Amino acid sequence: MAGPPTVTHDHDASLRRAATMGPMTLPTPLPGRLQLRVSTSSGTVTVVADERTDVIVEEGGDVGRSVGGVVEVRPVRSSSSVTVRCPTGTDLVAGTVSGGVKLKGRLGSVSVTSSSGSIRVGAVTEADLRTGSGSVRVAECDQACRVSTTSGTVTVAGTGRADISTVSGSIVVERVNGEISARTVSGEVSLVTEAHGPVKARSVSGGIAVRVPPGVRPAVKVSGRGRLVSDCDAGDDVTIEVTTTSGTVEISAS
Amino acid sequence: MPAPSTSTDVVTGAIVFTDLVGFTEFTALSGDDAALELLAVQSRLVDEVLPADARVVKELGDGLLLYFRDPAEAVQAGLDLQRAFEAESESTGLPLWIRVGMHAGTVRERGRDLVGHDVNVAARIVDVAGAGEVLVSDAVRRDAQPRVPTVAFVELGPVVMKGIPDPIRLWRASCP
Repeated sequence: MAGPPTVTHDHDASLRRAATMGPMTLPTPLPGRLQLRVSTSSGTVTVVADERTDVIVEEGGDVGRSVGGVVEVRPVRSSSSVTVRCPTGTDLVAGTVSGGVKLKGRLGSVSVTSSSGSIRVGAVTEADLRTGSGSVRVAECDQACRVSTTSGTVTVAGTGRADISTVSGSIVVERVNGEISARTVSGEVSLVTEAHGPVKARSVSGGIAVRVPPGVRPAVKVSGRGRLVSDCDAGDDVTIEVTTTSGTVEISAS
Repeated sequence: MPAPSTSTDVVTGAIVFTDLVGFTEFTALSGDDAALELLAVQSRLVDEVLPADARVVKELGDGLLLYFRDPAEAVQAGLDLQRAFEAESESTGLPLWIRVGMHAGTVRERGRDLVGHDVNVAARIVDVAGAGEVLVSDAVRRDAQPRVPTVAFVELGPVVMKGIPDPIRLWRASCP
């Protein structure tokens, strides 16, 4: 197994980089697991995880603090876009006000907050993603994927568990292995479960569609005034609990 | 019109904002009477949960500004509110989904209102919370955690918030 990631901090290089905005590598050995904290305001945060042992600030950021296994990268200006490269599996906390956040490669536990920026996530172990009006797209999350938006749409290609809430955004989860909770006021909800955990979906007016594997016989409970359409035989293979004030509920085999 | 109060007493404690998620959309879909019914249910649930030395500072449309002398009581009440709203939502089918955000500090009392930077921070925190969540600042967590041992705090990390100069460290409080 590779040793702990290294971070280099060369003060002179940092000063030169501030003038030229060239890349900065940090070589101080870090004990144990690395957590990267990156923030900016209106610029974009891009974090690329790849097979490396160091952390490189490629664009727009400066290392504000490096204590224990925590490396903090702050923007040179509030409008700066910040690009950082880090080892695969790094944990990340990223925040912006209006800037977007793009995560590439495979990261560890990820927490992203933005007031209005969109969030794009490649592969992570677990995720907590929050934005107001921005959209959220997750390619792969191994464990729990928690997403909250106000009006942004949420798309998760694959996750272990999901807890997703929006107000007017739609929710699409294309594959979930375990438990899922989805809640929206007026957006549409589309969930594909592998039926290994209960499904709970709530909406006020948005329609809710849940797909289960062929042959699975779900126990469906519908509350509210929603109309249920199902082409699955009833059973107790998986629990699907749906509450909607006026939306249509559709249960089908995928 | 009464003259505005000039009282500016300094008080310390927890400032809590709540927000009824999707209230605007619900009102548009279901009408004013249904919206009033929702607010009446909210008032009843808050009255039932609030401890004696906490108070509703003011109503903000579908949200509330609450004050607690003790941050630990604020955390407990926030979680109790979530439980009460969830149970009511389950039994009535009403979308009683609230989010709660809180911060602790020193604020000025202006009549019955509260003003100050820490109030503004608390208002920003609730914006970050999702439906069904209780988010607290590090100031609340440090004060409350030893006295609410059954509550789990999961760190979200330092969060950048509009108008607040430095990122604020936030935690999600929950009862496992």
